[in-house]
Amino acid sequence: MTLRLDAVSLHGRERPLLDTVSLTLHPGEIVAVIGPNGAGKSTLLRLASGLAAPTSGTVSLDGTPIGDLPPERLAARRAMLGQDSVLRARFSVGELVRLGIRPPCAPAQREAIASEALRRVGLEAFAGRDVMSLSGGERQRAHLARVLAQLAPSMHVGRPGFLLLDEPISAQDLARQRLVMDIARDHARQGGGCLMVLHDLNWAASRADRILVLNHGRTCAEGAPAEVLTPDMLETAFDIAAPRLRIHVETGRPFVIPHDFARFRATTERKSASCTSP
Amino acid sequence: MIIRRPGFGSTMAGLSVLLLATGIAALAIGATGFGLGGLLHPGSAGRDDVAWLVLSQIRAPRVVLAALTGAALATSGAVMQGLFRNPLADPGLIGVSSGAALGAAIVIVAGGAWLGSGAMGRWAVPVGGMAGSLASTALLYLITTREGVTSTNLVILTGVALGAFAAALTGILIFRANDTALRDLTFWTMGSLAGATWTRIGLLLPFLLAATILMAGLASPLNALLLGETDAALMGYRVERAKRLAMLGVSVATGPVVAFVGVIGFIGVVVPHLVRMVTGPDHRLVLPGSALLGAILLLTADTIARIIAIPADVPVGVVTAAIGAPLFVWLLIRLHDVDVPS
Repeated sequence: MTLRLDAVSLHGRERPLLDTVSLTLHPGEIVAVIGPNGAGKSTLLRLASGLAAPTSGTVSLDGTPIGDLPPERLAARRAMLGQDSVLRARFSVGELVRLGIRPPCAPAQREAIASEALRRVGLEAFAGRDVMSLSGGERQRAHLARVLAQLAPSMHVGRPGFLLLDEPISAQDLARQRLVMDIARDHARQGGGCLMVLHDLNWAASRADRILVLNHGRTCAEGAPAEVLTPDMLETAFDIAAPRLRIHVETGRPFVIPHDFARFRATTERKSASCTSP
Repeated sequence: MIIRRPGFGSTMAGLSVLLLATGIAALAIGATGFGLGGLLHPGSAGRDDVAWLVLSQIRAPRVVLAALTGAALATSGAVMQGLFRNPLADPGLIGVSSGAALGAAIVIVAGGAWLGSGAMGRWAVPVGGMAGSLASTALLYLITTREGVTSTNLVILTGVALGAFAAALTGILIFRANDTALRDLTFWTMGSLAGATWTRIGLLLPFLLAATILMAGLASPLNALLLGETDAALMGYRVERAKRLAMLGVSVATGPVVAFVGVIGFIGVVVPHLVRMVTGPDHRLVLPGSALLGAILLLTADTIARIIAIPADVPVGVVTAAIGAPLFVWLLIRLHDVDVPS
């Protein structure tokens, strides 16, 4: 029950997009993929999802080469949230989420799955809203709900699938970043695997079981957050000047403070905000 | 903005009743008026053999052909709009109808001599139309799609160019030919339902049945395709298969129809939009809804074409263009307002 990428490479027109990268995603595990822009993170997800076939190397799901799985079965075993959606039809949020649920599925069960997925992403009140009228962050979570709904039937039969998320918090405010990261965490707790591309190193450090660092299409580092996130690695891979690291007193997980922000002192002063929520 | 949708049953029932009413009205109205009484009691009309002949052999097949043509064109438009994810796709606008007309014209000119007027000759014309529309759809797809991504602007521009080219070739054929079947260019460019016969309807039915079967399974994949080919594939749909089925379905529906009625514009682009305004984008409603509304609107347009200049018979394409073009512009403005992109 693993999603396994074995020495995969994908060659683009001019340069290799991904060069002999290996990764195994186990059930119950969150793996964060980090790296600078153009490092091959999204390409890795495309290969892991079966959208693209590697030039060399193999991708297998539960031991079967991913290309040999019928599309319907593959869709039941893994779902992916892409970076951008091209949806321009005037579906309601509920209709969008139900699109993710493949037949055969009884209407009542579809309804239950869709509303549960909407509840998880905090959009239960938005089921009747036009997707086109949503904000960027709401739309991203609506698509996340669709992706969760796609895996829901397999969760119900005790075969949790793999969740592939490409920058799932890119459009989210701080509270919703936590919500989305908690969804990933819950998915892993229920026995599913989650592979997510993140730009926020600190979310990766605090929530991932393992981090894979890509740079120029190659594996730069892989391992537990504390092993991987070192000042040297960050300087090399991200080309940033000497970041500071703090270590969480209980979890031992690192927290990255970029150089520019390393000289701020702590403040305990609180001022009441004038923008209370209605 | 909260979205409310009517149910599947009530939408289809409403459209079906409207189609029935339009069909009856179309039978009753014309140069020879029958009135409802005449229709309900064919015996009384039947006393006049000429009137009965007009009704049963001229008017009735024309009404049926108009409904079938409208349904085929509108459903094809809906499928194409879903396939190309382009709100402007329409067999007429993107050259598929012109391709079909060229295919039919080639068969008539080149094949007339040796196909004869037997069974083979009769089937050759709709098959030629189908081949022409399939060729132009496939060519359009090849030109406008790179690595699974279809450029929506390119679809329209290339389609217009392909359509113009096919129409030019058809024009050359018509001027070179002295075949009576190709008597005038107006028929091929404006369309006309005046040539309706039960024989032609009989020839059309197998094609339309095949197209219905091909398109019936397309609703769910087309819905998924609204999310883009990548997401549709991720959701487990066989995208390439759906695209091939859609192109084949459109060609099988449009080609033979165009071979018999010429190029009738705007039904394919306007009708699916009107349906979507009521049903939303779900193709499980849009496809059957377009078939019904397409039949209703072309039937109405053809009735207008028959009676607007009695005893002359105005080409139906003139009427659909006169009504459809302003509607089309209105749709463009409206689409622009809701930010449906190019």
